[in-house]
Amino acid sequence: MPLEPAVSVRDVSKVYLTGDLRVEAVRGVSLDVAPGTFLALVGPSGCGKSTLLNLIGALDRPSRGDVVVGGVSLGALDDDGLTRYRRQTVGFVFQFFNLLPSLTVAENVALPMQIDGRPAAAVRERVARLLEEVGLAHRAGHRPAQLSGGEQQRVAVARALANDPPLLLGDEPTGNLDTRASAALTALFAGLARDGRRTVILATHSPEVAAAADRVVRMRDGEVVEDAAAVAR
Amino acid sequence: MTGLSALVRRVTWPSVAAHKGRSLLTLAGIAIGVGVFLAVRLANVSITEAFATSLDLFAGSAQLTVSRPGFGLDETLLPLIEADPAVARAEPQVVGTLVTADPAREILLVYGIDVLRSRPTTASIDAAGGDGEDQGFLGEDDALLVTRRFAQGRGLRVGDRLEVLAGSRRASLRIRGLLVPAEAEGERGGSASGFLERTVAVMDLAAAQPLLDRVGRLDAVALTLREGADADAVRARLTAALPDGVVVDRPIERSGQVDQMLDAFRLNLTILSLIALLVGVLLVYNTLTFSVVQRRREIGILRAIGVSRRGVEAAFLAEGVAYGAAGGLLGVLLGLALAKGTLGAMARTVSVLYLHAPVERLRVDAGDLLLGLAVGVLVSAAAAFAPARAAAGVPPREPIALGAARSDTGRAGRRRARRLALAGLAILTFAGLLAALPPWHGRPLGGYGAAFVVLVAALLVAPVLVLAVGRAARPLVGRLGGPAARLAADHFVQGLRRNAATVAALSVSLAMLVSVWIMVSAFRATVEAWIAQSVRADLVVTPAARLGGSREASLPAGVVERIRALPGVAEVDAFRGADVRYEGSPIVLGSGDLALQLRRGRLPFMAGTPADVLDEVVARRGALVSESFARRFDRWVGSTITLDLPAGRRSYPVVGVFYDYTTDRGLVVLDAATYVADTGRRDVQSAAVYLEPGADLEGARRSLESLFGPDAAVAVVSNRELRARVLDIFDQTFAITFALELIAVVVSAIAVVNTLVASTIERQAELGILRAIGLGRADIGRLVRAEAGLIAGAASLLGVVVGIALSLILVFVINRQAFGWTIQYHLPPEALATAAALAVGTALVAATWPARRAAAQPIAQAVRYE
Repeated sequence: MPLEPAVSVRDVSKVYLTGDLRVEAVRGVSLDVAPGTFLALVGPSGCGKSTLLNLIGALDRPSRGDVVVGGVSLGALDDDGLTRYRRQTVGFVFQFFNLLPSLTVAENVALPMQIDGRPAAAVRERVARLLEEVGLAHRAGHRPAQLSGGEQQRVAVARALANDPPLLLGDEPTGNLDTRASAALTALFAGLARDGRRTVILATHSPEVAAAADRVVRMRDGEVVEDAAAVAR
Repeated sequence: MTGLSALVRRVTWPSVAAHKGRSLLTLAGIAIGVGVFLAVRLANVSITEAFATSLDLFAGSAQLTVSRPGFGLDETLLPLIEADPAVARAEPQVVGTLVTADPAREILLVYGIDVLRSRPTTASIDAAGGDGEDQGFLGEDDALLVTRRFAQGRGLRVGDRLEVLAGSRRASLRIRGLLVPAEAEGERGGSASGFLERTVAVMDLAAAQPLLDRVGRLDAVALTLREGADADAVRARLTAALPDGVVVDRPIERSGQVDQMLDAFRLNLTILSLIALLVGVLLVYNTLTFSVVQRRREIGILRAIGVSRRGVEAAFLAEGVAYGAAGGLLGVLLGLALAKGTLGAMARTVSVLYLHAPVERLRVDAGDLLLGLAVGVLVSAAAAFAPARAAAGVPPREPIALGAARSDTGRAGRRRARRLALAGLAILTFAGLLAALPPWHGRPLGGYGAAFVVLVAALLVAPVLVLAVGRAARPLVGRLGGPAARLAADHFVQGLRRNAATVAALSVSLAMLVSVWIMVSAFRATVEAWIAQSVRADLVVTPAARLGGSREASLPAGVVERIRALPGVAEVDAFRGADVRYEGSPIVLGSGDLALQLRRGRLPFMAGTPADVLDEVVARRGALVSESFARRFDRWVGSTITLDLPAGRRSYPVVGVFYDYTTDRGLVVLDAATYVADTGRRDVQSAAVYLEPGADLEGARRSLESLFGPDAAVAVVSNRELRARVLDIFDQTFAITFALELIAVVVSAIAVVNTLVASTIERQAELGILRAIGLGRADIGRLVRAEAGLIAGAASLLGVVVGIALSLILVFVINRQAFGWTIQYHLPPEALATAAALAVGTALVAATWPARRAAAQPIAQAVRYE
């Protein structure tokens, strides 16, 4: 008996209207992802992988179909419900790091927990542990601008993990990093999925990231064209 | 040039069009600034010209006029004037006011002319049923000509009767013809000179003299000279031949007198109107600064493909000029509408404070409209200068940075802010020096200069204040509003330039509001205390026409004696007054029973003690002068003033200076006996009645009212009613001032909207991230509002401090120099609190739309924004 999927994408389409132009970025995609999977979404630019990721992360709503995460249908949630979902269930890592430049590293990591209303002491403790985990404890008081790209992205991962979400999403997280930093980060993601409690979905162009994943889903023109377990782990 | 036009077409215009909301708000700001400026100017010009054209009505072709300010010209002098060989025609006239007896209490400016000698030069007469060429019918002593528009407005026809209050009587006049503008017989007739104010009326001289209390006297004789006559020689001859005090001048000089009288009032309004314009300038600066920050990348690319620094600078200047031209055009339209709306209020104020202003039509000439447009363009171009320079400084290939706008809070930005603040503090010394300057031709230019320097200092201090408030507020707002609010404090500091401009705009308008508020409130308290001391009578008897706005109406002869004889009346003080000239300037000469006034403690003295003063007034035939007189002419206790009065040239030692707030022209008070002896005038304008202790007020009022008979139009006003009336007039006077200040606050609210929208656009990605990591829409709204709150907080702080500084300048320099009034200074805490609350309220209201806009931003799009 297979486990209930962590993420279930059910016949999802997303249409963008720009002026008279109708662009179908995602066309009828269905996908079940088992808990603890490290999944890589690959495909050429504009194939719809970022859009699909945004739909799973509730940064956007599908035009058709539904996304079910942890047994909860996102389509059934109202605005507050979706906010709570983004705060507690998903962690997002972006290509351009997207740290808040005015906050220190520690403050950036603490932000999601503070938004969630956690007690200050618990926040402090968890920030320290997360920074330890991503190897940046010594950078806690620095501003993002003082960090290298790889370091900034590791802070972004720590921030994504702040509220201990069961689902971690990354949109080209290694796209702006050099080979070494990219490899380190890929290992970090793989490690996060390995304990089975957390599902990781990354949209990526990088063959190395794809190679590290448990499962690779290839998209083209908004559709899934290939879905395979990675050969090498 | 073609390069510039291509830049404007391809770069400037798309950006303006893409940010429609911001562009429209900026236009609105300039339009309001230009509109207010133009409205005040048009109203001022219209009032001045109304006086000039009403003087022209019967003296349009006259080269000289002979008059006797204050007391009228003895009509027996007319033959002497006509005897001069150079005089071709001498047209005697009286000019006075009648008030309609109906509740509307409209004031008619009535010309009494000799129908056999004069006909109006700027109007013709339409006498339905009469012969237009023969004005003989006008000789009947109840005949009246009114303007056709006046008659139509009231549904009156030739032959109908009009009930009026004339002095302290009622009179019934018959309309015998209608006045029509001379140049165009059409309804909306003609050029300015052919225009007739609706409330002008004409009577025969012989009928008008008794009605206007001028039996045997003339207000003016208009002289038309023979061809080739030398006006200056005639003037010299007549001046020598006529008694002292008779003035022979050119008609233009008479309107000059009006100008002089209204000068301080007009200058004050003009300066206030400039504040709205200044706020508009800050708005343009704010918009363009943001535009530059937002388009650094685009500018870098343009520079990289070969556009010169100068080209970039010109394109941004062009944007400023375009805003100025379009906003100026809208402002001209707005100004016309505003001027139409406020002209009535301004004319009423002038009528109450100075003299009856028969104005209801707005005079507009193309020059004023062009001026409005030019002001819009010039101030916008000036405001665009600094942002254009900043744009020109963007290096080619500006890095495609994340959050490209964060360049102004680095160490250099902070250093610059500190330097500006130091400069601001330094120029305050200069403000102190300016404030110490004496008035220039009666105008407090040093005071206005000092106020301007203080405002500039406020602009210079704003950036440091933004840094300080942002830093100080961060932990506090973080504790109160959570991490999102702390981000607002960061945003506030990061948008240093933009926020500094907005804080400056809001604080300048608040400072003006606070300063005017403090000044008006202190002034009001001073006037209240002054009335309490100087108006002690239980009842005041005055002609009803006077309450209706007529300045010259007087009480029936012998009335004081009859009042004195009434049971319950202890004492009566008769007030006599006339508008006269001192050293060529209009002043008010008055008289009362000084012994009584000093005994009852009525005159609050600035210099001299009551007992000594009384002795000297009687023993040395001394004069008391008001503070405004003393300041204006620099005549204090010990000086002597010389007046040309009907009895001849008379000199009076100044024996006391008293506080007075009834006129800024200056008031000279003589003892009643001296006044009557030297002016030959016995008519009394009002009587103050003191009752016996314990007498019944209402009973006394009734017996006073019945004293005058059914035809009388005399008002009996209680002390309380009189005080209320004075304060009413006071409040009315400052209503325009307040309105102007509130407009400035509205304009600055636009700056706040602009800034917040800019801030949210600039931080679109950041707000997207915050939403992605779990901040709700409501939280985003709170964040924007928190930033608005910080703007308001900084602006309140600066606005209140600068407002207090400005109020000191207003009270101790500007008002004292312009009007000669001492105001007892005090700070009304409610004004400061309300101003701060207004700032916060304005900012929060202004934040509504930007907050909603930011919260509605799609997240997926926002995070891709980089």
